[in-house]
Amino acid sequence: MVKTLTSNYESEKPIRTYEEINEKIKKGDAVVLKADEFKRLVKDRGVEAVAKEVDVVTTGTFGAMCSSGAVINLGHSDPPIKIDKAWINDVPVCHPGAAVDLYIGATQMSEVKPFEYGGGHVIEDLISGKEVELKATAYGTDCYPRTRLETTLTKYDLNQFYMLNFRNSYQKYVCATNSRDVTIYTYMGKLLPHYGNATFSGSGELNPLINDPEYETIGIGTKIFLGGAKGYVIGEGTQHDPKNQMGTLMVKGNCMDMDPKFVRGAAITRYGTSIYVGLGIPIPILNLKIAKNAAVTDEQITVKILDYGVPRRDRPILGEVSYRELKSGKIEVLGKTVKVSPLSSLKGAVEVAETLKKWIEEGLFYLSKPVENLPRDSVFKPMKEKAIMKRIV
Amino acid sequence: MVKVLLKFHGGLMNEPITSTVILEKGVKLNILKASIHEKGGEMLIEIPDVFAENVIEAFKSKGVEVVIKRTISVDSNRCIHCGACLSLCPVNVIKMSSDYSIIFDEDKCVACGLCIDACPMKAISLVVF
Ligand code: SF4
Ligand code: SF4
Repeated sequence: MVKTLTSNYESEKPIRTYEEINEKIKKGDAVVLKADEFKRLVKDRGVEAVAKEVDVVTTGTFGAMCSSGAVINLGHSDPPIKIDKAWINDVPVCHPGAAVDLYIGATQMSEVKPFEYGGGHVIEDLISGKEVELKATAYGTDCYPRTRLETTLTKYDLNQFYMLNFRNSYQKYVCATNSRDVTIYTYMGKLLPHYGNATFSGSGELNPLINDPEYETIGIGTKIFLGGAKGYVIGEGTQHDPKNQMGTLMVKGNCMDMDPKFVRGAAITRYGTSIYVGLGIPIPILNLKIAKNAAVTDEQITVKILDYGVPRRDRPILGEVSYRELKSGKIEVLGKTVKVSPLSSLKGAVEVAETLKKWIEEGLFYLSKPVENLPRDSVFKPMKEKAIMKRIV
Repeated sequence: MVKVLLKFHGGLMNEPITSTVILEKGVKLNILKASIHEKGGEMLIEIPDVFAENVIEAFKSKGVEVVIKRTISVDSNRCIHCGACLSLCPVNVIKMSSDYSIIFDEDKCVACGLCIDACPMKAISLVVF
């Protein structure tokens, strides 16, 4: 017992501080490695030696993140309007607050081209500098008499345009397959009948949270890469489930500075629209324990294979598979070899980690210490339903 | 432009079919490849889109076999290399390279269309060539 305590203490002994890292970034001599490079070096030279040399490890993921959206402020029209309902490029946008603040939800679909164009595409178009069409209606008040509005806008006409995502960047996700006799179209992609293929999400050993599974460097205020610009973690995401290694993030970033290369509207056949977001976190190697955690490899990260042919909350578990097998392109499901598709862009994930590395090396990005770390003990509860409704289903 | 392969079987070899179609329809055809062998001849041509249907019909009515080859085309500006299409292809046209790029060997494509609606960026389309 005493021995464990000592070794824990040893591995948590500080090697460097945030201030020291930022000082090195300023001088241009911080040692920064991408997560995959870091793991390779650890394998060659051992974690103790590498932890002494490497200051920061950069991570990345680039996948569909449905619980994403953007807040915009339009400025006031004359006469002014207190918007009740609004549409941008025929996509309904939500009006959650005062007169001219809107929230563009990524999964809201166009009323003219549903399943093809949605909130994610509106956000991508605005970031690209394209002009969009805004329509709004209102009931009219003494102070806001206007009841109809139609105009065109680009991002340069907006006062604020920031991304505000309440669940992003799952630590890891499941692998999906389909037992039914027919092809099904799910948020996990197109699944062929009779376990004809499988899909998985997430970037495995490149993923931000999996490299700091105890959230020792990640929390409110952590500065991150979001959509090609700087962003921040503002808390744990909804459905944050740390005990099952399914932690999530709530994040914010300025869309004005984002790059459409890392923010892409998506149309998932027969499921709906969404958005692909590139997100990366720098992990400071403050001590040996953090270095050991960041040395985790694809072989060590396993996920469950679930049967999406059964549309229930608890889907049958058909097995377990590692990200290494998933990234090989083929896995075994019930004794049969099947092809597997990533749904997140692994290439995009590497580009995120690479870009973040470059920013730090060039002194364009400094690390920030979280003011409060992400919770490690919260639970993800199922929905409370009325007993009668359950019987109907 | 629509690309089609014309197959002239046996007895058709002595007739000036191509010139007749060109004159009849007033169309400029682009001949990309032509070959003659004992059993007949083959010619790969390009037809301007607006004439395609008409010209194909004209060749068919003169007894020429017209093969329209289809394949897929991937819009590289839309493709984000997610790989969602990867596991759908029955003939291994789609592969992931060591840097995680998704690459298509279009020549092997049998135009089954299975990958098209799996793409979240709607980057894949069927083309006729
Ligand atoms: S159309 Fe069919 S054969 Fe061609 S790439 Fe797509 S899945 Fe493969
Ligand atoms: S599914 Fe579409 S975006 Fe993804 S790799 Fe295939 S073509 Fe590219």
